[in-house]
Amino acid sequence: MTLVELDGRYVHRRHEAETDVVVVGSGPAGATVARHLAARGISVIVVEEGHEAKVSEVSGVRAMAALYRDMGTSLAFGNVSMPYLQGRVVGGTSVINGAISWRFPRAVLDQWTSDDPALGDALPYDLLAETEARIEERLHVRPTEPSVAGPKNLLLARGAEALGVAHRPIRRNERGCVGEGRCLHGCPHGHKLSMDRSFLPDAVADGARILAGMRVDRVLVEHGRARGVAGVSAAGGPFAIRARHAVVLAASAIQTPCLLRRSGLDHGPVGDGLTAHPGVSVTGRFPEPVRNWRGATQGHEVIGYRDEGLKLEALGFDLSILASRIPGVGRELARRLAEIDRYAVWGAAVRAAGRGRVRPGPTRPIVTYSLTAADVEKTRRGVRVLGETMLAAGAVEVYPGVPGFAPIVRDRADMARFEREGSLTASDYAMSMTHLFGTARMGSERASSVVRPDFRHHVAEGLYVADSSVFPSNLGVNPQIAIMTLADMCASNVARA
Amino acid sequence: MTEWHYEVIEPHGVPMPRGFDRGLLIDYSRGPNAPGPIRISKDPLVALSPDNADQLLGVTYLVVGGRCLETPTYFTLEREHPIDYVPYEDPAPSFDALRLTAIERRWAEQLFSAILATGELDTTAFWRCMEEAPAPLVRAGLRPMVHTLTFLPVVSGFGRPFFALSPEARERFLAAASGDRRYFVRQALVTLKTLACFAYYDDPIVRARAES
Ligand SMILES: Cc1cc2nc3c(=O)[nH]c(=O)nc-3n(C[C@H](O)[C@H](O)[C@H](O)COP(=O)(O)OP(=O)(O)OC[C@H]3O[C@@H](n4cnc5c(N)ncnc54)[C@H](O)[C@@H]3O)c2cc1C
Ligand code: SF4
Repeated sequence: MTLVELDGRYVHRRHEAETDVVVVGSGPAGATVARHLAARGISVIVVEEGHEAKVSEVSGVRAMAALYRDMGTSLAFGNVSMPYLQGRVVGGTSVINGAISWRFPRAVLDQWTSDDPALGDALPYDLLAETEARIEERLHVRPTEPSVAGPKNLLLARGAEALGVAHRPIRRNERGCVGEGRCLHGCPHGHKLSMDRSFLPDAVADGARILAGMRVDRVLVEHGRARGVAGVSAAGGPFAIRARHAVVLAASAIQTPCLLRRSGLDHGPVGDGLTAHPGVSVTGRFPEPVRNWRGATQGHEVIGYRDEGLKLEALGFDLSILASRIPGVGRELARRLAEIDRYAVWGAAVRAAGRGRVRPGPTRPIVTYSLTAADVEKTRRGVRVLGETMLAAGAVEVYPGVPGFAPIVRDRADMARFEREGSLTASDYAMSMTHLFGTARMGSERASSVVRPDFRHHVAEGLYVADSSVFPSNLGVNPQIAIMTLADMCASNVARA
Repeated sequence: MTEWHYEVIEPHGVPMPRGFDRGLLIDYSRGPNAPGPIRISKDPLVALSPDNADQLLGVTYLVVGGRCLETPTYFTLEREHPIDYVPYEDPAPSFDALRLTAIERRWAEQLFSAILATGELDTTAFWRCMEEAPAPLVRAGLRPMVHTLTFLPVVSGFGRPFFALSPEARERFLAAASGDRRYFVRQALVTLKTLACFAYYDDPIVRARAES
């Protein structure tokens, strides 16, 4: 079944339409809003810049080009230049994510509520938990089966067990996963229940319409009220979608603030306060085959360091990316690549205190983000515990990949030394960001937030923000379920208004 | 069967024969057809029965000097089965200024081969993919990175550019660059290495061998 009603490649001339609610973006936030509203009989048009993916046998550079925004090369500039990765496809980043499903951490909500009690009233924990449970049921969230985990995940379990650190199989949104290890290039079998395989078909079945290949450039605001959106199709045709009731922005924590600013809606800290979970990774070589590209893409996690703001995960990469993480050049690299099946890469997500900023640029958003000194220390500790866990799991060599320290580490004492002697210069760490928050924060104070606790924009009537731009802080856990949960609450408010 | 290129468009702003003001239009003037009458031909299409787009009636007319000349060529089109997927090709953004010149591409390929020690790679498909992909930062950064790694050996003890070095000297230079304290040099090597790996595993035979 095709989900898309109108494909922007064929829209050469002006296109106009009208609906009750326009949703911009079809990722976890947009798909959740569309599904909720369509189920209530409200007419919805989802406008998506990306196209409907044919996730088949493409891998490597082709999959990156087809599914990732700017081929995965968008950069945030700061004391360490980091790629931030996003999907640009029907289903948003859920199509290329690791399917890891975490519930909204209670402690984070408590923190939000203590900072701004109005958030506690708007987001009651019981309702949040109930919504989350419904979402998880539909997305078939369950722990990774050992039968599909594959060696890379089982080795992470073995390492954590040997160190006595808490760990567990990752809970993922999938049905019938066969451990093909390709989630980050789109599940070729449709086992991962990304939005294009779950909430969007639900929404379309209830009457929602999806326009793909249509980039929204601004929100149409008339007399203080959002009346629709305007933009341009992939074929260059201008379009305008009028909204009788509301406009909901769900274009991600990078694109949403740019849209607001481009629409002249620049009041409050819009685009400021970007927070994230930057990730650092370590490669290791095992004596036995690991075949890092097989087994559940991300099937096991170490949760024993969460109090310190670190979470370790097995990473399943395509061959090309795995190869680029193996040390050496020339004949040394060739020798290692001949045994590429022995290498594994694990990552640590850092709950960083760093802050950044997003502004619309001439062709792309301009994103700046810097780690704090404490974040760099945390990152250094992350590299240490990743290396230690690998060695405890039986790795014969670990490659911290940080200039100024031994390129190859073979015993745990040396890895422990890394935490004392490893670099504290941010740019010495190769990091990337996949979880982004906070650029159109919610709050009761108009001066210090962009949307109200009920997701309504402080200034423009009929305008809502549903994605992780509204999160006042990062979460410390993988955010997709939390994003869907809050987006569902946003949709309830849209329906009620 | 048609052997011409065409686009199916909505008939806005196009001269139409009297009576046709809706439906779709097969427009041969928009395809890369050789000069000839086909370049001025258009076929309006209408559904044979309401609410059913599976059977269409068409007629050919020519547009000469903005006026429509009808022809007696009528035809019907019948849909065999629904299409559920049409391959998407993003219109290639015009970053032509960022495209590597032939000589720069040659330098990049020499770096790729030395990084992977694989000998020559067939990178034609890889470069096509890179050129079509909207990755402006990589494309803007690639040229300075290729230049840096090509000419840095001249001033870092090797005395000549990368392409004039022996295979052993190339390898020694790359090993030194990967541990260089200068961020940009390290980053240039990491980027070139990543692209080399992409190009290498883009070859289905290499991929199949590694996965087996
Ligand atoms: C590689 C990777 C792995 C990840 N793994 C996990 C994981 O395992 N578990 C987890 O919980 N989270 C994971 N995440 C993060 C998670 O996927 C995202 O946080 C989540 O998808 C964000 O949802 P969203 O709806 O806010 O934005 P997105 O999912 O990014 O969706 C936004 C959509 O809006 C569209 N859009 C943007 N601008 C416009 C515009 N102007 N006009 C029209 N459309 C527009 C985009 O094309 C996109 O499709 C991962 C992220 C990445 C990059
Ligand atoms: S691990 Fe493979 S089969 Fe399982 S969901 Fe991911 S891509 Fe699909």
